[in-house]
Amino acid sequence: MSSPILRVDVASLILTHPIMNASGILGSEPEHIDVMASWGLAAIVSKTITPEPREGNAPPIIMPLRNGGFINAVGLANRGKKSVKELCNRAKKLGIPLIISIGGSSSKDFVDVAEEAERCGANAVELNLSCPHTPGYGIEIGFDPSTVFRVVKDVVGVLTIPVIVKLGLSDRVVESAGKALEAGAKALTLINTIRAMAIDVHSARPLLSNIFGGLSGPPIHPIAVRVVYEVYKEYQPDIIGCGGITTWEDAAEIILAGAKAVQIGSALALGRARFVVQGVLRGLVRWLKELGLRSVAEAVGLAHRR
Amino acid sequence: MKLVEAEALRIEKASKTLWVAEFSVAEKLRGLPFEFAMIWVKGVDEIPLSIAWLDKQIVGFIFKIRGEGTRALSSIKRGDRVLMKIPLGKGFAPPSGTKILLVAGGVGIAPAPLLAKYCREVGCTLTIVWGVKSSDELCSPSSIWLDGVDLEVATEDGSQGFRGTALDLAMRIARDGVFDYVVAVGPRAMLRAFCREFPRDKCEKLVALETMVKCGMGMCGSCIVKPLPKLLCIDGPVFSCSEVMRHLELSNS
Repeated sequence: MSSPILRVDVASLILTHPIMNASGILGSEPEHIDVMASWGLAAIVSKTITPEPREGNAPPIIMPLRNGGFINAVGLANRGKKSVKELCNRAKKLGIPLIISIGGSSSKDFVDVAEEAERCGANAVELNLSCPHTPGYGIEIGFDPSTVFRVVKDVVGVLTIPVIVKLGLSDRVVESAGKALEAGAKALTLINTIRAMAIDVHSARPLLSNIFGGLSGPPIHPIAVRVVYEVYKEYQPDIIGCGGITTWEDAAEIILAGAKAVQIGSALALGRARFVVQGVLRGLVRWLKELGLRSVAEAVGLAHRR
Repeated sequence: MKLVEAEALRIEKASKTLWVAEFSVAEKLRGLPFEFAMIWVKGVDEIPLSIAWLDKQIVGFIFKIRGEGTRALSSIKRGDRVLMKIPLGKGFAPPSGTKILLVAGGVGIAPAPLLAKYCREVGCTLTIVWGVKSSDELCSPSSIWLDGVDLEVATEDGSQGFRGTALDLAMRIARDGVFDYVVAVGPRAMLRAFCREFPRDKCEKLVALETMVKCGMGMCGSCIVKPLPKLLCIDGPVFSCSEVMRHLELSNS
């Protein structure tokens, strides 16, 4: 499904439509890139890559919840910096834009993987400053606007490809967003999963081996819409909206709040990816026409009209 | 896929190497042959196990102790609870009227009872070949819901049934019979030998693979069947020999 009306330009990337996957769904092996390319995404976001390989947590790592969401603590499992080249080569071969998601515990880590991503021909990088469940990797950085500024500045300083910054829910998310933009981020991905916990009531034990995890899926969508709305209101930057998007209405809603593109994560599970992507795209085309709009760009931030 | 709370009815050692775990669940479950469950042995580990049988609110598994999770499962007591994601995978649903030969090595017998039930319901003819090292690894058909099934046994030491491997016996049976599908399930070396050696004329050759499975829902990607762009938990575990031959050759375990 591709229609000229869906074409978007976000973070200096020209995409055939606004849907990419959210980082964390597959994306750590070249074969994953093949699978994801078959889903009809406009761009692929890799799993978060750290300089060194990480084993990740022991199962259970992802559990479905009664409220229709998921809780996960995969633990940033990935094969390290050395896997970037294979991922980039596979995406190039398939002709699909690839954004390398990067995780680290210091500015140096981010710079290290970002340089590798650029060398290998990635189309952009997305700095994961918001992983909510792995101590030292992510949210501690994203929570502090001055740290966000430093990390983003350091990465932007060494790259020519676009730098996207993924932030999570925090009291100071608008401030952090401002700092990321000030440091040179081309776009913001909002939001990551939200630090959460689930307990099995029969055994009185936490559901995840890691105890804490990130909440994703439909329950977090209204929060994502709110954050996108607030950040857009303040700075009107390029935003990639992420959080519980499952249907075209969810995508339309976050676009109206201010997102130019969207990422879908949990809804791609259980073999439904192709169906979900096609459904959202078809719905968006119908919706844009119904509103008399000629492009996605014309819908971005429309909910801010007074 | 549902997340269901299950209560242990029967956990018992069924042979020298095999264990049986049977649970009751609060809701009616459905599942196709070769679909699997992720069983969370609470506080210990979450493990993938092939569904051995499924009858309304009863679900059973046949397993071998391989690690911490299966060990913990073998030591739970009647009345204990586990949490399971079930059913997962794509399963294997041969059309009615077809003839199927299942070649099971060791704990590869696990999906057999559900396949047998499916075959009775839709009208397929099923022959099962079960190979083990020695007769003390076999369990009584009635203890694993295989009563009245055409079951041929092979032991490597000749202590019961045919002397030789499951594959040897299956090749002999296939000489005299015609099958639409021949499905092998068992150790990787056996699957590799099956895909290489089993005559392919007049049948479709399939294998049920095992890989590391961490989430079971197509999100984490641990179960990628390299070098194929396929996930075991979404597209499998049953694949045709022709598509997974390279996968089997790449992995030497």
